[in-house]
Amino acid sequence: MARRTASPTHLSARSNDPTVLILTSLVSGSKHGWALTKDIEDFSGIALGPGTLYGAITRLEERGLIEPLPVEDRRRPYRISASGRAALTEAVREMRTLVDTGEQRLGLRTLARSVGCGSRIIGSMP
Amino acid sequence: MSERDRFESMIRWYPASWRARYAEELTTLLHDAHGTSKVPLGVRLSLARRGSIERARASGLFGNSLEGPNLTRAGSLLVLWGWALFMVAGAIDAKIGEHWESAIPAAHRSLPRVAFGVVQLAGGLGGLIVLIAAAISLPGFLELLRARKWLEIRRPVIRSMVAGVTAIIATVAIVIWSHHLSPHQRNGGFLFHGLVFVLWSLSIVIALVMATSAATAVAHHTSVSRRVLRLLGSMATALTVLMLGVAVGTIIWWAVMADYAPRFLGSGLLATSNVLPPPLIAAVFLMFAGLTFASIGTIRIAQSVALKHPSLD
Repeated sequence: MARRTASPTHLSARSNDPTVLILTSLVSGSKHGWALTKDIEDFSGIALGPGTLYGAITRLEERGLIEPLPVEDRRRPYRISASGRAALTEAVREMRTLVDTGEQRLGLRTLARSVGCGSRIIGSMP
Repeated sequence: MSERDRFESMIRWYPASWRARYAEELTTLLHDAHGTSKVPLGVRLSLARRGSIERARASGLFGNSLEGPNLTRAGSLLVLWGWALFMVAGAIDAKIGEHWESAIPAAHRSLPRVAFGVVQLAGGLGGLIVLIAAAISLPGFLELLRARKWLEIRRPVIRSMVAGVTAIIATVAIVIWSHHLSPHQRNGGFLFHGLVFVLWSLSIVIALVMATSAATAVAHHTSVSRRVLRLLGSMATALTVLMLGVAVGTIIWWAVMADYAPRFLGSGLLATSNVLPPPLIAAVFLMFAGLTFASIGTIRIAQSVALKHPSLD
């Protein structure tokens, strides 16, 4: 099976990958460790442990995908970098392709389209 | 123990360089998440696991986070750790191989004699390389002391000195005592002597691990010139080749002894009456583990040269 060549900025296209979760959280603004943990838990339901969180932060910082900001009251916020944004975009597109394929093969897309169409018809009724 | 100390003790698994960068944020996160309540065992185990992974990455065992001089240093230290394992294996080997020549027919002695000779020669040369490397690194260590950075390396160095002195005292004591025993008592016929021998061996292993640990800590805090670092890298590579010689020599010696003098391998402490004595299996296992460390270290050294990092040119 052909595998894509791993580049330093390539992210795993898995929605539960800590690096993807952190970058997704940072898109909405800079955050420190505790704020990241809470935000990720809110939007994904995944509770990242401190070891996992800082393992991912270390890798992301090494690869230049996030940037540290000055410490505020012993907490250091991080922001997403331009290459981090590009890497996340690529990962999200890969996931989109996977979701599209999955939906198509499971027949969910036709169903979703029919439901959407039905709702629009009902909504347009006088 | 204060709150801060409590959290700092949980991240002791991480390497010093990592802690210097992230310890404050991580301990603050732990404080935010757990406050004064008990930190769950799962979180502590996760920190231990992640810290060990970071330590392995910092040592160059895997990952690509190191480059240039740091990669050469990490590679050389991996070879040193491999050599420490070889020293333990060599000690087991030397004990098992005592008086082996008298146990094998004269007609079959030449091959094991060459193999055993290679083991001894490579072992001796390896020891010499390590001593020369230590001598080359000594000015850097003295510079470290002059720069008043003793506190940064105090713990591992003191631990190593205590373990070393304990091992020396134990060695002198067991040698004096053994001289008052018969050869039969010294070679497994006296259970108490056997137990003391095992304890003495442990003291040697602990001293060796502590000395290597101290050398690692000192190396991480010492600045050496690019030329010296390159020289140490070359010496580490030569040490890996010698380790390969020791491993191959041991296996050839073992195979010939198993063929022509199987009773010899089955005698002594932990006698098994077969050609696969557990101590020799342990020795060869340690050699292969050491060779794995040393090979990874040599690859790292080669990578640091191949990358042609500006600071190494």
